[in-house]
Amino acid sequence: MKVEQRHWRPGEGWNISGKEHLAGKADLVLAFGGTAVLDDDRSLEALRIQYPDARLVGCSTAGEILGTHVTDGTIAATAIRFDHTTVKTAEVTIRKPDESRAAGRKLASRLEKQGLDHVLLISDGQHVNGSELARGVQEELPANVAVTGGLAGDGARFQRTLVFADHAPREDRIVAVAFYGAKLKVGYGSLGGWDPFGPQRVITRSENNVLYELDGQPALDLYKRYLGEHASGLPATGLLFPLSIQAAPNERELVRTILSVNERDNSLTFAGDMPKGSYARLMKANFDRLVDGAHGAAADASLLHSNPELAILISCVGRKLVLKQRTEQELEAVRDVLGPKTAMTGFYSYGEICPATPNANCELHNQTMTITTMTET
Amino acid sequence: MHKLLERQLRSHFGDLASVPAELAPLVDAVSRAYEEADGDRALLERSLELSSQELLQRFQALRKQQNEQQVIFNSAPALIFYKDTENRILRLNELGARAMGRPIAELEGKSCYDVMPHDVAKRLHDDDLEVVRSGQPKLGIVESHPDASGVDHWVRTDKVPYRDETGKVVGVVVFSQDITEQKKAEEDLKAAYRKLEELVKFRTQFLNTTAHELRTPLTPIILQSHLLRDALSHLSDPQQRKGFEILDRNIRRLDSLVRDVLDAARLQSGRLPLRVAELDMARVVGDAVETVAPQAEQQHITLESRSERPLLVAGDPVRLGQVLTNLLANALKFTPEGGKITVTAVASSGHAIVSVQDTGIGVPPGQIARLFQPFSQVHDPMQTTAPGTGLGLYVSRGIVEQHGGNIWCYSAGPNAGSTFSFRLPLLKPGAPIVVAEKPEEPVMAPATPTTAPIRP
Repeated sequence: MKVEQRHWRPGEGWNISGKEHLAGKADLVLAFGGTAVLDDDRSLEALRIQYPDARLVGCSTAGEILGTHVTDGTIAATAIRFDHTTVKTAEVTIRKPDESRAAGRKLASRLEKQGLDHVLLISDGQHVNGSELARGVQEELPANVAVTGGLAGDGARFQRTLVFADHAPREDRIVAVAFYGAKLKVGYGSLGGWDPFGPQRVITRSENNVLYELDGQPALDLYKRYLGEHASGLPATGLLFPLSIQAAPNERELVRTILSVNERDNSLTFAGDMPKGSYARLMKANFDRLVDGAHGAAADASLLHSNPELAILISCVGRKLVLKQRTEQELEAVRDVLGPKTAMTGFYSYGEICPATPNANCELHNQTMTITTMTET
Repeated sequence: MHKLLERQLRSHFGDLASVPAELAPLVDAVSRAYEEADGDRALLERSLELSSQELLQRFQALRKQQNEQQVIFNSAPALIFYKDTENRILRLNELGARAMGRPIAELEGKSCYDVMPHDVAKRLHDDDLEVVRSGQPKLGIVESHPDASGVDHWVRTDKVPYRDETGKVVGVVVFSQDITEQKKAEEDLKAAYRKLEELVKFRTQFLNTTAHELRTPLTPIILQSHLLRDALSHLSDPQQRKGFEILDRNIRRLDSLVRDVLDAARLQSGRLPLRVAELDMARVVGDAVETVAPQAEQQHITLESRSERPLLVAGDPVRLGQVLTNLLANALKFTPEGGKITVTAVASSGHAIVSVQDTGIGVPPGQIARLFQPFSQVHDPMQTTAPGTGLGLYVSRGIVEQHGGNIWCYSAGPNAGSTFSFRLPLLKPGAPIVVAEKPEEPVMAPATPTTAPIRP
């Protein structure tokens, strides 16, 4: 397994990052870029020419990760050549969020199951119920196949997200990259670093991933009150206060982040289910814990094999909004764990997909750093 | 150096070595400022975290408590209402809502004037205001209310002042229980009791009248029989003599039966008339033994008697003689030929205790308790005697108890003989002659006097 990375910057075009040793021969190229940049397909065309045999897969982001650096409005590309692993892709189009589960099933059903080892899932970030998508995909896959991935981003704009597999980037697409081969070792980990605070509230009115009322009061009003002058920046500023959802006392807490706001009916759309009757608490970032979370996710991902060849980091846009100039600190924390040899790429997302614990079903996370590591033995 | 500053300097100057030396003091100050800001933020985060934890714990404890209260509130077997002084329902439980025929949500916050007939609401409000004004609970209000469908229900209501956290009365808490069923059961019971009382009264009256009516012709018959006995004393024909003896015995027997019935009837309706005087029980025993001696001899039964003298009691000699005669007649009746009857009269712990012990057929353990009830008969396996009224022991008990005494029986079982005893309070020398209205508690007798053996 060999990896080489390139970076596209406006006005500069493509530059190699690190050593160049694939000579154009790659099985898979992962490319993550700004929405506006990806709209112009010419930048991707250069990659197609550079790696003619590779599947070219990627999405728009809220920040591109290459090594320990975060950039906006660029393209971070990572070409991978496997020695023993085959890569296949499948994709579906989704029109409405309530089709998410069916779309997940359809997508997974298009994948060859024989010898399937791992699935990397990259989805539209605006029109998908990530929880349902993860559920649908998992339903159609053998239990031993893990799924990791994330929802595409659009900076802090929350307007349109793009996904592609070979074709030009488009909205409403979901792509699965399937890895086949006994010698591929995949590790994964996902950690947050957000703390619930303030009173516990009950979700009194909701519909799937749309939240209307907490404790009988409009949920949007609550957010506006807490955000104060930042309320005008909704929905992006809503990322500062994700919700911790608990189905019942002593149950595991899930983190949910805002995707969009509807002023007309005072509702908030979240990236995952908001079951009625669940307990909800506002969460806030804790600087040190965000960085510790990234560190922990990396440690989990490298449990099976240290110093992996490749690490795909999918981190929530909310972390970037909080960490601001210090965003790279969480990437450095990951680097500290993985070591200097691992090629790191990825993006800031609108949702992360990963099993909560090894061997569990994959599910949607929000506000986490989710890391997938790959090595061939 | 603060990590963020380091990154910023690298990004600006390429590497740290390229930072101009004259900026060193500034870099140092900025780095310190970053670190101080971090420290301040960490402190704030810690405060927020701790207060949030505390808030959550309180919230969870409160929710648990609320849940427990809700469970009690809704499973209590009573209609519970919290009301304010304006007759508004602040809170009510499920039972309360069900009784009013509407869901809780439709009743909470509503005035009683809006959800029930005005006169009923007014009555409830007046009660409430009384409790609010006095600050005292009003308990056990029993009244009838129509339910949602108009059916009247009896309810028992307790109203207690509803005080806020400062102790001020801000309304009432009402607990109501539907007692319609209970009320109906009470009425049924009362009616049954009235009917029973009438029956008892009728029976007593019937017995009384019958006994009197029977005695009226019996008195001249007895008199004529005595006269006849004297007149016919010279009769030599054994057939005729035997015939007369049968007639005479049966007249006396009939007389005794009628007396028993009359006594029993008097006992049932109250008391027997007593003529109380100072008397020696030893003498009463002596007289009774003397009376039955010929019959004992005739039945070849040994009759023994031991008495301490004197045993002074306040009593009616005729009635106490009747008790003894009764006990002796029973003993004779149930003791076979060759048996023995022992009569003792002793003083013990301030009482005269008189016992009639026989070697007869005894009493089965299960029957002892019923012996002193009216119309009870000990089964006579020998079938040698005619059955009595079953009133003798009942009347005896009545007489003894009216003298302030007790009567009881002990038998070790069938064919083990039996002992009937009674005790009367001894008269203290010089004390006035008064008979206790009620039997006093036995002093030395065992807990169940009717089965107690004699302890002479």
